[in-house]
Amino acid sequence: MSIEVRNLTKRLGGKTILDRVNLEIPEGSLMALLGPSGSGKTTLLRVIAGLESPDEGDVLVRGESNTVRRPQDRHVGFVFQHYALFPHMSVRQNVAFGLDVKPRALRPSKEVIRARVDELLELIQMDSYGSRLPAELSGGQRQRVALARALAVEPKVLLLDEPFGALDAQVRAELRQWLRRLHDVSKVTTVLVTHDQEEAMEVADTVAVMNRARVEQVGHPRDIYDHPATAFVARFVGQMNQLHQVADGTAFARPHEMELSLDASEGEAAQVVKLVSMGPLARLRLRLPSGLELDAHLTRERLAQLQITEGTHLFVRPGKVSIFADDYSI
Amino acid sequence: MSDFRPLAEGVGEPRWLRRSLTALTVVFMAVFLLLPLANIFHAALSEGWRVFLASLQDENAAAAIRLSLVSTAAAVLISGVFGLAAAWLLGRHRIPGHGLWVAILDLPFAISPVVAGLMFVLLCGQDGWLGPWFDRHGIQIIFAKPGIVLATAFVTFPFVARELLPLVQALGPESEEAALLLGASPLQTFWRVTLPALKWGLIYGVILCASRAMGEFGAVSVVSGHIRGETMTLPLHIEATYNEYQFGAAFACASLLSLMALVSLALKSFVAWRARRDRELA
Repeated sequence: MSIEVRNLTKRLGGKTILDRVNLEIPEGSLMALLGPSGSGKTTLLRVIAGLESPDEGDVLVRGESNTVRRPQDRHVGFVFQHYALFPHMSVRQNVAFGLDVKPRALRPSKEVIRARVDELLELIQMDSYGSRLPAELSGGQRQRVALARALAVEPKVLLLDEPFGALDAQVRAELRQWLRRLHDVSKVTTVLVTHDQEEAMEVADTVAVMNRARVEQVGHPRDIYDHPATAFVARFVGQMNQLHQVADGTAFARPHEMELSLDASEGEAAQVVKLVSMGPLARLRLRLPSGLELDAHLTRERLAQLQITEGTHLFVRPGKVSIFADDYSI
Repeated sequence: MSDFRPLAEGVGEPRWLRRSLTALTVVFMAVFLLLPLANIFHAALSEGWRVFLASLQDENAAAAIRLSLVSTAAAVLISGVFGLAAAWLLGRHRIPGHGLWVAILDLPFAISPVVAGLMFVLLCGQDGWLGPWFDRHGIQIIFAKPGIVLATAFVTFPFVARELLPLVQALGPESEEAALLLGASPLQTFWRVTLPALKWGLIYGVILCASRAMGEFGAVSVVSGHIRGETMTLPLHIEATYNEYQFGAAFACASLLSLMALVSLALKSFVAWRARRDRELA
């Protein structure tokens, strides 16, 4: 177990930011901490890094308590949302920083540092940018430099705080795939904080969903989507229709689980109020006589088969229903 | 260091108003600022170059120039170091009574320099709280050079701190945190990351501080004791010679002081320009 978070509690000004959080992150894996803003995910990352100290609990890295060490002795690589590059240093100087500041006895020779920086610049595909200043780079390039700078000191764990949050959608998608490939090569235990479920699902081996200072569910991305443990996870990860109250909670169904038909014997009457058809999938918004609105996703073929347009009256039935005890979080 | 951006053409006041305001400003600046300044140089040279140079080489004048330079350097050092420390502390940490401490930074600006000088006399003079202690140890503060340095440093303290505080806040803790996590010691982080980011602000604050220290009259006048050749700074020397009707000598020294002010003004503009250029690149 590379990182073990034990019963971690952190309070700030009377507010509980982390509430008895337990988490295990296996050596060499990539875990995403997914949650809405204010759920405590960034604070958890900062406590693991040693930038914040917990009120209770402990963080073990490879079996040793990490909370008692000074930040500079933790061997943690950290990447900030807004890059935090040193503005007066060139790309090379930024990447070399962690090696340059080592105590003389441990510091590699100038030639070794230069070779290591060359290697990292090649890894981030920025060999020809070594002498540029951070101000002369795009956001995506800056974040790659920040990542190379963190990897230069060969950290035991790599912590990424919303690393692609400040970038536009296309660059995000590219960097995401690039990060995954990088992780497959480097195998450094990595924790990625994000509020973007697509990012978490696409990149991570394991996703930990956080809500209101607690971890609600930890699991493989597919399991989290298919078998959400709580109503919050069900609604936060992927789209979810909230159907009706039942004896022990509320019934939910995913939009792609909604079965549509023109046959009155199959489900409740509904009218199509909006239809967006893009790519292989059509997204429908249905309104029931009760006023309840539901989302349904279906294939182009099924859409053509049923001859659905905006305004069509049809019948809807959830194919698979999940029931969760009510929480009052939303 | 403020930014200037002109209004777009056709936006704002009517043209006649803008033109008359411009004319008023130009006339005012010419009559009240440029003319008197030019007159100082004119008066300084009215008795010829020889008298001008002789007045600057006079024993007491030379001593005053030296003392001004020394006390300015000392004041700059003191307010530079403490200003940097205060800005970092107040910009980076929430200490109890934060708002009060920030307000206290401005105290030397709010208090009349004469009162500031009197404060030091009451504190370190012979009948003051600390005076007898200094006396027993053979240290003279008031009516001596240490008093002049203290008074000057007090009056100029806010310049560096005030200039740096917003910069420290804008810099944010992230690059320092990044440096620490990369293995840098706090000292390495300060020298390699924090200080370079504050460089232009610090230089700007030091120039403001130096030009004010050079010209400080009120506070220094109270603590100096006016001992010719010993505790007279350049502004005090100018007043003394002027009161003795040595107008040539007074204006010669005044022109030197004005020249220093002009140089610091030019340096200040250069630094502001460089800082803005660096910021635009960032």
